[in-house]
Amino acid sequence: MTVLPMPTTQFSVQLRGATKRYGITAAADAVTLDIRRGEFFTLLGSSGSGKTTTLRLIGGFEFPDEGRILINGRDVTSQPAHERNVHTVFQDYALFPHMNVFTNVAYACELKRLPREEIRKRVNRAISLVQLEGLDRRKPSQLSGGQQQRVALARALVDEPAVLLLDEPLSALDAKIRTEVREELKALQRNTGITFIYVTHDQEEALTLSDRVAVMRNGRVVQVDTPIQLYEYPANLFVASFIGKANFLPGLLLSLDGKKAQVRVSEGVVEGRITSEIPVGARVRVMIRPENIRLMPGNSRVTVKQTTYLGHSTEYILSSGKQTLRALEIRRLGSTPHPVGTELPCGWNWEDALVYEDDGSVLTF
Amino acid sequence: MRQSRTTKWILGFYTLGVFLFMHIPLAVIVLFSFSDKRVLALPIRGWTLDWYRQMLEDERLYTGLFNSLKVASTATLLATFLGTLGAFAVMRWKFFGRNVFRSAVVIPILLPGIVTGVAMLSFFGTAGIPLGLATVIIGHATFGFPVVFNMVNARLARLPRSLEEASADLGATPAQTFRRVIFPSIRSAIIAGALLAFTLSFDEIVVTIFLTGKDNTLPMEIYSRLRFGMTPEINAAVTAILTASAVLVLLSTWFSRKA
Repeated sequence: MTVLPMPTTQFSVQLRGATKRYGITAAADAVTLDIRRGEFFTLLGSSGSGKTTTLRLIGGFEFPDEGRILINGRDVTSQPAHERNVHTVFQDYALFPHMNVFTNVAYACELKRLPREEIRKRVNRAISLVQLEGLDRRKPSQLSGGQQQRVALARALVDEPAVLLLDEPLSALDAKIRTEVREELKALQRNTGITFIYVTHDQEEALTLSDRVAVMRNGRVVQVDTPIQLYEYPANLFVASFIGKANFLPGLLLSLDGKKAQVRVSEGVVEGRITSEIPVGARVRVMIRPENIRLMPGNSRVTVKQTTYLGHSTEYILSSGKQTLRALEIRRLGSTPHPVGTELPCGWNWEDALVYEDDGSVLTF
Repeated sequence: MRQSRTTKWILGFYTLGVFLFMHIPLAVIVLFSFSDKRVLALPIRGWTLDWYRQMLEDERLYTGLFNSLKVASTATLLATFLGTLGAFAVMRWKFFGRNVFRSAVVIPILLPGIVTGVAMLSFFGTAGIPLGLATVIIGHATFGFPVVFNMVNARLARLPRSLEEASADLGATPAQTFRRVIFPSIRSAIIAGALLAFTLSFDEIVVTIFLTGKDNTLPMEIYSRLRFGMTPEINAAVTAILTASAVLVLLSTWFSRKA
């Protein structure tokens, strides 16, 4: 066995301005990412955002027109898939239909011509890692979707790759199994310590699974951050509207006092915090999350238009003149939801409302 | 669709009629091959296997059979090899005229044998290639090719691209991917196509008439004997061919349905 020199970088995968064009559209546009060793990293975006193209660039199924790709600090830009120490869990699992579970999982080891006994040991370990003991003689067609998914995982993990790429691995599963497999994936990543790069359009998956998330749009990386940072301090309006629910009040920036902004909205003046330099007088949007709206004495009065009881909380649609607001109130013992038509005082802490320059990138739902 | 009892009966009889119309001639030949009279007439009084014995002792039928097997197997090999490669080319690479190629490939099946025959005869004549079993083989391969091509092409179309990617992803070179993943998935389609190409070649007569030299294939031999009328040996030979062809076609269907 050859001893590999210790990689000189803490990064598992690095993309340096990787660009892939199809005709005139750039599916991946100057993507630069540093993915740390042992990290659960997610590429999040809607379809056509370039997340899958980026994954395929890392896997070696596509080659960038520009830029470089490094794995463990080594330039692999022009290496084809079979020369990269990276395995993929495909969206459709891509299990070999003529092989049983054992031979599917053994595939990578067989190609490496490992000794029989070694292969058996590794395959059994991988199969037990994904809890499929006893099914090793089954053909893929005799397995449920969740089981096929586990076989795909075992097959990709069997020879301990440097990086595991997962392309929307949960999208073909029904909702109940999805949550279950999601938790298992997280545990699997923690136990193996392998770098996971995960592609999804589902923000809930991204937030619950990932150490860090790259939000993508039109082939570009818009923000790379931890789930908490993404949710609480979105870098721009697009990320703010893509992740979680929020109210976006259009208005004009009246004045600034340090970070504290006064914004004229349709029904008066509200306060918020600016996240970047904005000139006074600019058109802005005030982003406020529903759970940050307090139904208590504050700067305006609102009318309850709709009340949705959610058990652990109550969601309100409130209106104040032409403006509607979505608010979420955590249920407290003994309190009853406000009925429709109630007039309430409402407000928020100015730090909880983020003011962005309006670039028209709010997603409307 | 709901059918009344009467409609069902009418449809049933109609279907039966069509089947009888198609298959009675075959049944008659099979029946007469066991009749102990030289004259082909009903009713059949005595049964015998003599005609089969005579057929087995007939040297010219033997030579014909041997030639047919030689032609059919070589043409099949050729068609299978080229058809499989062609199907891959069309499936995996975009090249100029791909769609034209895909449609043009099936023309030999649609063309009347006489057109293929005349065209190839004039080609071989112009090129100065002497007629013989070799030219017959080439002629038969031209319609065997699209048969295999279609079968393999259809199977490849159902083979997800991700299987190949998964194989490469796990460390397989393109050659290893072909041997371990693609070939096992299309093997039965290749076999089905080959069996069908073999059957078509084995009983082909029109193209053969144009392209053969002095060697006769089995169908040609039988055809040439018809000038002297149907003989019971021919009935026996035809029954044997019918049985063999039916087995091959059934096998082909079985393989093309597999996986």
